[in-house]
Amino acid sequence: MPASNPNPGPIETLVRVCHARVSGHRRTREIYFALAIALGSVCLLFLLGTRYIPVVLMVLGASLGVWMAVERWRSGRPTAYEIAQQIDRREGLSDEVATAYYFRSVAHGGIAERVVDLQYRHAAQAANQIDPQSSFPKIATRPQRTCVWLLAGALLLFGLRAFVQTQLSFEPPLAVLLFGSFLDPRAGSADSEHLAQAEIDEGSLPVAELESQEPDRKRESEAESVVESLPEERYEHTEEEAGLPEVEGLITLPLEDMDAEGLPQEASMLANDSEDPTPGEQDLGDLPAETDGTEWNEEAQSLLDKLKQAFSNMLETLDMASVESASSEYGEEQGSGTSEEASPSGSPSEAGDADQEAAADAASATMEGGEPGEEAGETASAGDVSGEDSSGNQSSGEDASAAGTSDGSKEFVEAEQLEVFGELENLYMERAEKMKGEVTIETRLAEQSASVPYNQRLTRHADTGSAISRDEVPAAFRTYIKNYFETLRGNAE
Amino acid sequence: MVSTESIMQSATGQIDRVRAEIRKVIVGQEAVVDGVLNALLAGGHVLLEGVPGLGKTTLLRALGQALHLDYSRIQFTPDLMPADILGSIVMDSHESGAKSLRFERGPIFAHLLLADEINRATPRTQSALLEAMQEKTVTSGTETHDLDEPFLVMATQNPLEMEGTYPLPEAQLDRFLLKILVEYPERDELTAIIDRTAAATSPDIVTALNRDQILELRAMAAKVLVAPHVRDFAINVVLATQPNPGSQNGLARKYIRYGSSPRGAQALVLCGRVRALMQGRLHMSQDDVRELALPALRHRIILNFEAHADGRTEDDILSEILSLLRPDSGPQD
Repeated sequence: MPASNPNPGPIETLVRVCHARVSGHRRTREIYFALAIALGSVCLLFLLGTRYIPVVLMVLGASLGVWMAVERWRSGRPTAYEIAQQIDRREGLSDEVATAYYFRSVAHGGIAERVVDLQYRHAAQAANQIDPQSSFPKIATRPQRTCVWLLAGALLLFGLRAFVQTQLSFEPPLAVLLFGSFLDPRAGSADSEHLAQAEIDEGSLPVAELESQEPDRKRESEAESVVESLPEERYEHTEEEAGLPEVEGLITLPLEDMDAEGLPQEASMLANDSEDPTPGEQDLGDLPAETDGTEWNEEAQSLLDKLKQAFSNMLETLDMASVESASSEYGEEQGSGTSEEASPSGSPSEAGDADQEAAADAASATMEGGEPGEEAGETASAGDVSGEDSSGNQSSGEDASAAGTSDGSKEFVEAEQLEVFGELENLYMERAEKMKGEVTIETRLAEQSASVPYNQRLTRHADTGSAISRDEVPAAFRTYIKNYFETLRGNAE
Repeated sequence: MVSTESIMQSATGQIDRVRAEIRKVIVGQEAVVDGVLNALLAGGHVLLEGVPGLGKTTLLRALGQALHLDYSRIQFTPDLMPADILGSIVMDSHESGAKSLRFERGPIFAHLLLADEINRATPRTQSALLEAMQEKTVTSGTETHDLDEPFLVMATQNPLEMEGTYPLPEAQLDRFLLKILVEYPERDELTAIIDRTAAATSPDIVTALNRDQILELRAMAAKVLVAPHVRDFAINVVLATQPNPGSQNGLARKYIRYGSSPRGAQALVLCGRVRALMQGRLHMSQDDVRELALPALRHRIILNFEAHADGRTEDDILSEILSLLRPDSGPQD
């Protein structure tokens, strides 16, 4: 870059003046550039409102514009030599001034001084005829034109806001104010004036600002309120019209005991449905909790008492049967010598007969204790093995029942179960007839798989008919199971 | 200081007088005349390309008469040998009976040489001429003879008849400072040509410059100031013709196979200085570069097949490159 000449001539003076003008123009242009960005931010504020353009963001935008303008001004500052070239271009001097300025300002070794001076004199003559103001006039640059347009736009937007609002507010977007019924559901019924007034009255901090800051939280809270309110209305409606008593007392209270005593699994399932409701069945679980029927409780309490009584009787009978079985085996051992001899020869029915015949002797023998007791125990184990061979059952009690020792007890138990289930069924039917309203059951949409895989088994129908009479199948459900498979069979045929 | 200014003023006047003398014979063809004068003052050679009958030989003869320089003409043919151009060694027989070898100078020993239809000679003969053009010397046997300054070769070639010709290789084309296209005359120019031909007397050409004055003008042209931004612009023009992978000029990468050599930049600056001097300036400008870019670079670039397929010429591409290169004029409002 050429150095400054201590004795400036006309060319240096011209270049300096033009440089000052160009710098001033550039400074003005950058100021307008920053102003254009600020006006753009204001236009956005007027257009979108503080709901979408916070004031902080607008201030940041304006600061960014100022920073960009400063950087542009610093990075693009022209040198005096570049200004001289620009003078040549504007005045059509074919690089005369720039050449003269350059060779006059720097050392030009090897070049004749006379040529440089002569060229400088020619360039000076041309420079004296140059008017810096006409060479570098003040013209409207693009940032200035942009500023004018943005200022007009800002005034227009401000005027629109002032026109549609009685009390000026910059919070809602202008589009909502103008076309609120189409764009904003909240403003669908109310006009923009009411909307703005309502939002102002809600507090010092506008609600919309909170919404803009935490829209997700608001949507979640609204969804929760809807979810909470909807089931309550439905349950209240159901209670009022149906008047159902609490179901929870009926189901939960006895089922703990029934599970503990090894009652049918289906009954336990019913209890589990009410005790441990799945998320989708939460509505059903909540339904009886809010009811306080009295008739229903009394009826259920009586049924529970009956169930308790029936199970206690059943347990007593079973205990007696096991004791009798052990005693009869012991008596058989005493009569026939060794168990090894009796087991292979005797059929299960014969063994059962022996048990019945020696029941009293076995009880007395057991009371005598000592060795015979131990032997009797071993004999009972052998009897279990024989029982398993005949009936396929694995428990000793079941062996005894299958052997025919406690057939009367089995029938009694089944009768008790049927009776209880009949009562339960009646209750459910009665409740189902009285139940009205709506019950929403939600299930998971995810794919579910059976915990126990299905195995295809082909067998004769006669065999399945006997399998359904086994003890582990609750008597109350045998009919349903049979009907179910008959239905499948009918569909298959 | 006064002498320098007077030399410059007289140089401009002398060049104008030469133009006026040539204009007595040559009608129009201003660019051709200025180009030949530019090449003469810059110390280079010029290649004229045009159909026959456009006054190329007449121009060179008029220039020789106006400059009071030796003038010779060689018609290149396929059987032309180097000795026919450079000269040969002949045996002299003295009266005493003694004999000696003597170098007989060929037609190349002249200030102005017209190599007419240079592409009709074999490459061997062409290369013999090229040594004289580049080195300004002629070697015959073991002796090297210097050519007298100024030495200007003005070669012509016919672009139409290409059969039986030997086009100049690129290396030889690079030796020519300028390549000037001789165009057809305009209607009024053609009218003037016919009038002058029908005239009974031929115009007398007065010597406008002598050899020493030409050499002074050459020295004066070498002192013309070239500012850095003008020099950079010339360099940018040359670089823009080179299809380098890193070049930002997509036009060069697309159409140019080989770009200009550094001789192209030298030619731009040399001829730019002469042009500035011919216009009475002591400084070279970017306009000089623009004006001289076509004649100085059109024979230094080689187009690729795609350019020929698209019908693009060297002038088209150079003009487009110049339009893309804006002069470095600093910031704008």
